Formats: sequence, C-alpha cells, structure tokens
Amino acid sequence: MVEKFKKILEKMETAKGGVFLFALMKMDELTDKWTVVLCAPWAKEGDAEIFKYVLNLIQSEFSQEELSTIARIGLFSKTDHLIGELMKYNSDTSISNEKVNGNQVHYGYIIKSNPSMKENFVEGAKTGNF
Amino acid sequence: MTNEQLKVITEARLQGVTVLMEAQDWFLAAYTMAMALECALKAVICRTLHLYSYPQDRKQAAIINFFWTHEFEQLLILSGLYDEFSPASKISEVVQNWGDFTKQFPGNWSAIKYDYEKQQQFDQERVKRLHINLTDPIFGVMTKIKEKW
Repeated sequence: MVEKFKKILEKMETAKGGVFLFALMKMDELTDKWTVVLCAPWAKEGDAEIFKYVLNLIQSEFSQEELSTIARIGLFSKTDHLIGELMKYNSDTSISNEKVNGNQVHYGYIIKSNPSMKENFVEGAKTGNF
Repeated sequence: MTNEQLKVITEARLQGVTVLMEAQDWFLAAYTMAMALECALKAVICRTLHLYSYPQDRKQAAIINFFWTHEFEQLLILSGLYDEFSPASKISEVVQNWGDFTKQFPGNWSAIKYDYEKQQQFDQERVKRLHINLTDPIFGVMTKIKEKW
C-alpha cells in the first residue's frame, strides 16, 4: 500500500506541486481501515475538483480489494491541529499507538512531511521550473 | 429502539442542530450532527438486516462488539452502504462529504465531549461545512442515507 501511495504522491507533485503532508493513519478501533491525509497548498479543504482528482488517482492505482481497506480521504488545511501535530514527524516515519490531536492512532505512516515548503512551490510545478 | 424510532430521533437531532447553529454553539452543533448520523446509520442497519429493533442485549459479547459502537466506519459496514460512501464509490462528491464529515469524528468520537482542546477546534466555518457535508440536497451524507432507511 505504502509503495503505491508513494507513486500517487509522485504523480500529484509532478502535476500539481509539492505537499506539506501526505500520510496514512488507522484510527478506528474495529475496522482497521486507512485514513488518507493530504495537506497541500493546491488542495484546499472542500475543493470538489481537487478531491475528484485525488480520488481518481487512488482508484486508478488500487484494486477493488485494496480500495476496501481505505475508510476515507481527507484534504486538510495547514492550520488544522491534526496537520500541525503530524508535521512534527519526518518523512518515512511510522507511528504506533500514539495520541495525535486527541485521537488514538493505532498505526500511521508519514509518507511525506515538508512543513517548511514555501507556498509558491506550487507555482514552480505549473511552470515546470522546480 | 426500532427503525422508526431511530428515524424520529435523527430528525429531532437535525432540528436541534439548526437551533444550536443559530445560537452559535458550534461544538454542540457539531456533536449533535454526529449523534444524528449515528442514529441514521443505526436506522439503516435495522432496515438492511431486517431487525425489528436495534440489538441491545449487552450480555451477548458478539452484540456488544458489532452493534454497540459509535464508530462510523463500523456502523457503515453494518448498514450495507459501504460501497456508496467509501473511496471505491463512483460518486466523488458523496465520498468527499463522507470523508470531510467523518475525518472530524474518527474512532470513538463521542469521547470529544471530555476533550476541551478538541472542542475549541469546532469554529463557525468548520461547523457550517460539516452541516453542508451532511445535508447537501443531492450529495449530502444524510440525503443519501434517507434514500435507504
């Protein structure tokens, strides 16, 4: 799963620009499914077009069986407390049985954490000038 | 509680949300929306599993494990609506509304009533968005659930 999500991240960064945070978390007691967490300057919370873009990428990468292990996809603003706490971790870090923003995270994986990225990085992606 | 009773409670909670939002009690409005969603999913579970009433026998471990939960993911699976709201669904707007609402209430969400810090995070903007996630007339979570309950 993590490798496929890394591939998705690569596609997103090429097409849209960098991300502040991309992570997977298991927060439910009984169902053991993933919550996909994305925070990026180009992914405004509630943006239907961007959500559809991310969902399509995920649907094209994963089989139906793999998709059934994903509970939800969440676009978050950088000011969200959850994002603030998750960005304290480095990229490629696992989290196990920790409380994050008051929620029990049974298992988590920070694919990318880049809190110092400048917002204008997104402009670089649009012009191809990284 | 029967399917009909759960539906009545859901509607009452949703009316309460409107009053709470008018009173600008943002956290309680959000909490009440989550209660409404829980009741609505339990009403669908009764319908889907052909149960006269929602299972309440606390002496049965299996019943406690499967039915006595606040967790939305667990309730969604029992309701038979998983394919409609999960990322496997074809309707992006519904997946988004489900994700945007439930991401604020993960796991045993009812514990937030004792979490002061978390309660402060439910401001006007967030709660208004949550209300749209639930009640959008076409793609809202509650709108889709009411088609099936």
